[in-house]
Amino acid sequence: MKKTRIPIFFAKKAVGAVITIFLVMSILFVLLHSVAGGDMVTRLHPFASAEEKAELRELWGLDKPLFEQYIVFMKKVFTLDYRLTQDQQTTSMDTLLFFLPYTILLFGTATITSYIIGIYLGVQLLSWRSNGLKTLVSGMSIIFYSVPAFVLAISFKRWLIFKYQIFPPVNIFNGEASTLFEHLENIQMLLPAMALPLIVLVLVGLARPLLLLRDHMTLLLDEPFVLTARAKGLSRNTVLSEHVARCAILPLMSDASINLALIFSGGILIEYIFSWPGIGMQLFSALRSLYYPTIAAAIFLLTLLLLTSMIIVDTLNAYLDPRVSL
Amino acid sequence: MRQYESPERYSLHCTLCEREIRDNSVYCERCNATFHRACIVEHLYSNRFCPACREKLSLIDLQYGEPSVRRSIPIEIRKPQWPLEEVPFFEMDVAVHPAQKIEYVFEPRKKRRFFTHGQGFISQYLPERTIKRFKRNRKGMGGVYMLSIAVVIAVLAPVLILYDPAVYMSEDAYVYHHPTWKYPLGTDVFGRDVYSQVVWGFRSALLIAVPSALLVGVIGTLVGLVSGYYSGLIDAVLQRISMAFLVWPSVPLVALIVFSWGPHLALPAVILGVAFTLWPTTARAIRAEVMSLKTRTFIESAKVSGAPSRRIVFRHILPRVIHITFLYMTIAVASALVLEATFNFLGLTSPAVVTWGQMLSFTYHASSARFAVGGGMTWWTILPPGMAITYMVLSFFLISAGLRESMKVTSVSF
Repeated sequence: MKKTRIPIFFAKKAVGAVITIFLVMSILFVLLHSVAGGDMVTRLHPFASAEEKAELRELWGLDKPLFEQYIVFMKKVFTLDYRLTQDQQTTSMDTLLFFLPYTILLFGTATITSYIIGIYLGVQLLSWRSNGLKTLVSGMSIIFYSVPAFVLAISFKRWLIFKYQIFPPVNIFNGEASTLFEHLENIQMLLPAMALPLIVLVLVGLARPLLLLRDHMTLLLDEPFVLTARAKGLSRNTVLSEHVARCAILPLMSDASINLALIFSGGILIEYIFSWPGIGMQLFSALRSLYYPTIAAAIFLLTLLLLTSMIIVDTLNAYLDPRVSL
Repeated sequence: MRQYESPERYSLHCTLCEREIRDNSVYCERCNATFHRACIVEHLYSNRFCPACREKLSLIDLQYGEPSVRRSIPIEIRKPQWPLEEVPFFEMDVAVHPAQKIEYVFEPRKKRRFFTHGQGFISQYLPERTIKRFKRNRKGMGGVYMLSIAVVIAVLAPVLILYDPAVYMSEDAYVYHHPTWKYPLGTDVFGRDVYSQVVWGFRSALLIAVPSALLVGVIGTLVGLVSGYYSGLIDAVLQRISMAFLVWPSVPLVALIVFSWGPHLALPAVILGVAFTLWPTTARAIRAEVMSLKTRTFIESAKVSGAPSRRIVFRHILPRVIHITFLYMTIAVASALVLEATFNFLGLTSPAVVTWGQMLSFTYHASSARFAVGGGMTWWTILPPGMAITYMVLSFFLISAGLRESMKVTSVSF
């Protein structure tokens, strides 16, 4: 990659991300305001009198015309202002930012672990001599890929937590951490509870890199450079891991950005099942009462997280692959 | 037995090409017909019999050198029956007459197709080639069989069920009944027979899965074709839109749709949600394929000969990318089932429609609400619906894997 192009690359990505966030929040606005059975006021205070409701609507700006609301909404989105009223102390954005590190911790660890294990197994799969072991590993990964993540989660919860009590049933979590030290202490306390959701996410996310890598490597085995490497006297494992796997990882990287989106949208239910303090958990509880600010903030943060990781993956891809230009 | 005095006089002739044999003569053990070695080897490439006597013959049975006895070929009677002496088998007096020339007539098999060796033949026509490979693919055909079993169960569901799967039996005798002959898979927290629910669930699973797959296929393919072929402004706009739908988490999207439509329309909402969140992946895969196809020469020649771009897109490009559509349609099926189950967890669907996800969610929620911690989760309420979902997803996954292997495509993820 040429050094002069790097700022242009990131500028393009940033503009794209801003447009994407704009579109996502527009869709969210349309959906939020097409909900039947009343708006946020009716959901939060169903038995309030008409005057109180009108008062709340006026306070929260829900009585204005729709177009004006849209402009205010967009303005709030891009100024990161998720206050319902002007004098609100703790906004839902603050709450979600408090939970953000835990989501990043769980999903980041799960994604990186599943990719490392998947790539390792994918390379090893070709070098193993035993056919039964190969079939076993790829078959198991296919089965785990087709099992919905939450089915795995419920079964694990039922047997490994409740019946055999291998993992702790309750998260010890201090919800009022303010300093970084307290956050670190929290994470330390959460580590035993992290094991099970991590295992579920890794098992589910393992199959995609593994099978994809295996397929690409089988295709590459016919290429002349493999023959050359073997003719040089390199061992079978060296050829596979040093020569073939490096080429096969490139399409894996370009696939990773789509895979990330799937992992995120499927994984937020895992947070709910294992009561992991994260954005997904907050989003689900907000969806029940249709609390607009938290939903909007959660969607915004998830989109931002996903776009950031996609940009990281794209950059990595451009760094690794000489064919992709920045 | 008689030795030949002069080889010039009794020169050997090849039965197949009727020319003289100078060296490397080979003869059939049974009928003593002589051949050039090359001739008989070429003949035996496609046939398994001696050209002269029509008996079964392979390269191993051939004798090298000259036959010790020359005799006429017994054409009328191949396998002489007892008694032997009535039949003039062969004449020992052949030395008087020169070696008899046998006319070699090639008799084609009666039912002979144009391509005899069809096994190695690869059709240039893409769908035909794929179907042929797919039929030989164990994974793909296994998936097809699994799916057809599921369809049969779904069609015969009213016959197969033992009890009404949607009626609650709230007395304690019916709740969490162990698996017995009366209730083959036990009952759940509402006293409903698990077996009947699983069977009925095949119907709703197919009803959700197939339309969402069709929607994903149609939208994704159209957008992918358009944005791949017309690069530029249209492509940029469509890319941004597809990115927006790609990063939208599917669960909140469908939740909001269900909120606005009501729980009785939860299943259409799930279908729509799957279509909304999955068409971008299809469109992106197809766009990448179209971009690489666009630079090929056959597209250029079509352009030069004046074909409109609509024709180029639908006649030349579409058949080459349609397999990606099928692959993503199978993925849509899996995610539709998963998403539907997710919605039951949030309590957003109608309890009157029996689905596997609903069974799982009832088990999960009942375990914490009604009984002690984890007390309500029994194996017969978790495993059957979970395995049914896995079965359905696995069948579609196997079909897509088989299809991918038979198309020999790996650039597309599963």
